[in-house]
Amino acid sequence: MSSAPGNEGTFRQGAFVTTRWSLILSGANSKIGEEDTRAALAELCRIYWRPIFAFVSRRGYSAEDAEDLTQDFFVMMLKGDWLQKADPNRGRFRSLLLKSLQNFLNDATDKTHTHKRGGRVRFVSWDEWIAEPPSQLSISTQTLNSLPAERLFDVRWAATVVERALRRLREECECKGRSRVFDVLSAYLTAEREDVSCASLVETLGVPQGTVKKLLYRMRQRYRWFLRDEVAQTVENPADTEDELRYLCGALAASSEQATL
Amino acid sequence: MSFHGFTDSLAASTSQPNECPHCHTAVRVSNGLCLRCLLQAGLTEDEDPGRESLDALLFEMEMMIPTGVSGTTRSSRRFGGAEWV
Repeated sequence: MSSAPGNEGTFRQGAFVTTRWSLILSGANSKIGEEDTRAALAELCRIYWRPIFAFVSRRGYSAEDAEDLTQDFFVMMLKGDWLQKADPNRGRFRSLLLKSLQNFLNDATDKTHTHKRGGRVRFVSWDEWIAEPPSQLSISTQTLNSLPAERLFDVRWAATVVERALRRLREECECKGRSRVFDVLSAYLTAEREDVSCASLVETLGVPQGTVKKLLYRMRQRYRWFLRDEVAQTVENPADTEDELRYLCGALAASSEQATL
Repeated sequence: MSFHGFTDSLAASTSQPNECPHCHTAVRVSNGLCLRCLLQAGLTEDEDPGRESLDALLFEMEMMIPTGVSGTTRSSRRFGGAEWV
């Protein structure tokens, strides 16, 4: 998995920190660093293609049309002057992306009827994007069917952020040959203390109770850091990370309420 | 046209995941973990423990666990003139 700019230092105190999104914004009206800006934008697109595709699909397009439209949207973003047009004055990457996508689909509605598939040049590495590890998002049919496209976009976005943080934690354990530690303890990342049976974990992992507790504590800390780092890459200022997390938590709560209406 | 990779774009599973007893949402990710609780965890700010602290613990485990128990083969390591086996 590629590292974000400031991968190990997004929250360094007192330091000026560059997130992917702030890098993109700073390069929006300048030719200097254009390549870095486009690379950062391409990386964000690669990470967040699923929310885009989910939104387009929920708008009622067939899977085939949704794929074409998602592809066209990314081409428009990466090859055009999307950022200048999008007025990135501007907000977070997530909200700007959604607004742009809504506008894009409004413009594209007529085009899809006359569009001929198969003859177009593909500019983005679509095959690479969809070849990444699958998502394991599980959602009830009732909730899924009740969500409007905008809400589904947020849920899918939240899942992407969380799954990337989990993957980075797994990779950290794996590179020490301890993927089993991740497999066993990740189930307890959000568990209340009373819900954790240290005795059974001691038996499963074959280490003393003190080590189990320390491992779990450290894994939770590390997970939190990865999560905040992932979110920070989509906001201009890392200080906005909490607000973005709160927004996504709220979106999850609202989606559940929507399902029960 | 192949849609490999798209099937999980809306959701990997539309079974009926259990409602989380803590936040009462029913959206799960890997290991059956609650998506909202995992997000909420990010709101508890603490210092970055750094990669070293988790690494140190994983290494500590390596010293304790007999070969094969955690699915890996322990290799010997050299520290100065000494060798851990």
